[in-house]
Amino acid sequence: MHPESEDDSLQRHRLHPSSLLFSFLGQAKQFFLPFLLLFFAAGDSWELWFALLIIPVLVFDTYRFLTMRYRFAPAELIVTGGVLTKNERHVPYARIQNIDLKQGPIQRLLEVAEVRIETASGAEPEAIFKVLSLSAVQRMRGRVFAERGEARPEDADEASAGRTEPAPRPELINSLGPKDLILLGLNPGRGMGVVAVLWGLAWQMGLFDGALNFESILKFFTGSEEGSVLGYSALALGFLVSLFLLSITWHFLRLFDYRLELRGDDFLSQGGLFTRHSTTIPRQRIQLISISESPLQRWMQRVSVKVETAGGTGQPAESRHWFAPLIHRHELQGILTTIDPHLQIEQASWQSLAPGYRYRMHKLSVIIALGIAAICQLIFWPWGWLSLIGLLPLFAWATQVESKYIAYARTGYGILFRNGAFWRQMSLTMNEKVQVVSQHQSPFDRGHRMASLRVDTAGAGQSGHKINVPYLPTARADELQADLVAAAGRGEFSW
Amino acid sequence: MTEETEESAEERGVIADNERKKLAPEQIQVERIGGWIFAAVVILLMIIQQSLGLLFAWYSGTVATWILLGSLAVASFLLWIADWWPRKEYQYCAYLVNASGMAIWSGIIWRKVTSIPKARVQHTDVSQGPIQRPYGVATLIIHTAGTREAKVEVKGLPHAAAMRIRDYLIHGEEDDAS
Repeated sequence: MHPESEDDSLQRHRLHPSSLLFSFLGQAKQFFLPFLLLFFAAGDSWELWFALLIIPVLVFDTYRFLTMRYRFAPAELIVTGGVLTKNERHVPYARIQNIDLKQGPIQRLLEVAEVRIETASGAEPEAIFKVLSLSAVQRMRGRVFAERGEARPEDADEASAGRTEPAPRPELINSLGPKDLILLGLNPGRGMGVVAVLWGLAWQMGLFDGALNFESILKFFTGSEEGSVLGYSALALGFLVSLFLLSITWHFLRLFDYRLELRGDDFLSQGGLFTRHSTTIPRQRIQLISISESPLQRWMQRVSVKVETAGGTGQPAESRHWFAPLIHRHELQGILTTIDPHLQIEQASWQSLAPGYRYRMHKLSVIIALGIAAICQLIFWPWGWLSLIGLLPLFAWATQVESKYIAYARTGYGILFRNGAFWRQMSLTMNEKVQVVSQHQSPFDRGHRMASLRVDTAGAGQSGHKINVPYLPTARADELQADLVAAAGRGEFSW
Repeated sequence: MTEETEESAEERGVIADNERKKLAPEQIQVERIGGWIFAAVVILLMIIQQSLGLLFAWYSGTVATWILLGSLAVASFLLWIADWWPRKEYQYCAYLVNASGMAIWSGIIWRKVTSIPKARVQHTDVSQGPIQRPYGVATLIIHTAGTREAKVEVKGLPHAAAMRIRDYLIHGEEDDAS
């Protein structure tokens, strides 16, 4: 061990001085609304003195700031602090999954960031630093990701010498321009479609009558007394346009100037207009890769790539990270190769499901259509059943399209599954990331001698596409299950 | 491997024998008792409700009769299912341990086969409930790093088998064959 690095491991670092400002601002935000309520409710009576409760909170925050320290031990990050009880938390570098950064506008001005250290266990981040200077963050990233595995002395030297860039030269993998963001925004996805339908239903059922009078809005726009067909369609169009605008705005806020870089063995993604999100995704920690295509994207030959890492289980939505939000279809193989050179999708031999799966898919779609028609019947009595005239052909078409696309592939490195009619999704995982393989058989499956196969990985959020292959012949499901478990058992799992 | 070690292994019974095995038959009785306790609690509540209803004359004659009939139906269903369900469960549920890991068959109507590679077992628990203890059966709980299948339970293993499977899954090889 070099003497400098030993020195460095003993050196205790503090938070950035502006931390106090941000913790005060955070508290003020929390206190602001109650205080305002108090002010208007109580006037200038004695209840206003409750506002002074903020003072002990501020003192507490200041004290916490003064006591919080962290240092880089040879194999772990040690965070000490605490007001009433002294805490010392040891976080081994090897267990750190992500170092996430969040920067609001003021924080960007001051070149500081809120840092969350995430490990696989626990519902909350292992440590939150609020806030650190960007150079301190660089040092921390360098230390944590260099010391993971075997500690390399030269990296330690560099870090202790205060150099900010111990990682190798970053390689730009993906970036987004304003045009890409608009295209992404024009893909509101199925979620937005559902919202639109719900709005329509709510309007139809008169839920807005009290709050917003759509009739008067309609009158204002069309100038006519009665809601004409033209007026209604103008309103619907306006609603759709505002939906798209909202979606585009959201994508600009979240993904403005998005960049994905490869630094050594870690991917670093950053983006955002006001609040910049920055996430380190270690290459080894990628558990599941999901590729999605909306109808518009397919027409433009673009796909979106998201990855799931273990950790951050407290925020299931956040364990699925944007990876390459919008790339040309031809670039997909290149991106996958940067994750793992074995990941070849062009050579994957897609296999169809059990004979008779189309019949079962169509049967299911008819049942769903009948269910929706029954709901329509209740709402639009007595003519709701007429919706079947539209629903049945639509569902039959979607099922026909999906049944041609749905397939799975077992490859040397893992398993792939794709489905979806118009919004297509494909997920793949590697043998060494497979945790549990389960086979499910419903009573209907049993009648057709079929089963579905689910592959569970770490960090799979509540939502999002998963490897869940339905309608397999039972013999094939058995074989696939045994094969996957054997392949998973050959390699030791290392997060 | 010599003859003696093979024999001794057979005496002890190799745990990773790649054979589909049924759960302990005692588990049927354990489950039945659990079902009876549940049925007893529900029936007791229904009796209280019925007698209070009679005492304070909450319901008219016909409504009271219907409630009585309904309660009798619920009670007999609960008593029937408490007997039927454990027998069916014993019929379908099974487990298998082999070199690559463990497989568990579960479910009666919606059936499921769960396979856990040995290399993915994070840690395991063996627990014994108060009804399980006198019958010498246990529940094996296997924790993995997975999400939906982060915790896989096998209810009703013989306690000794559960302990041996636990040791095998955690320490890899059979303790020692000698």
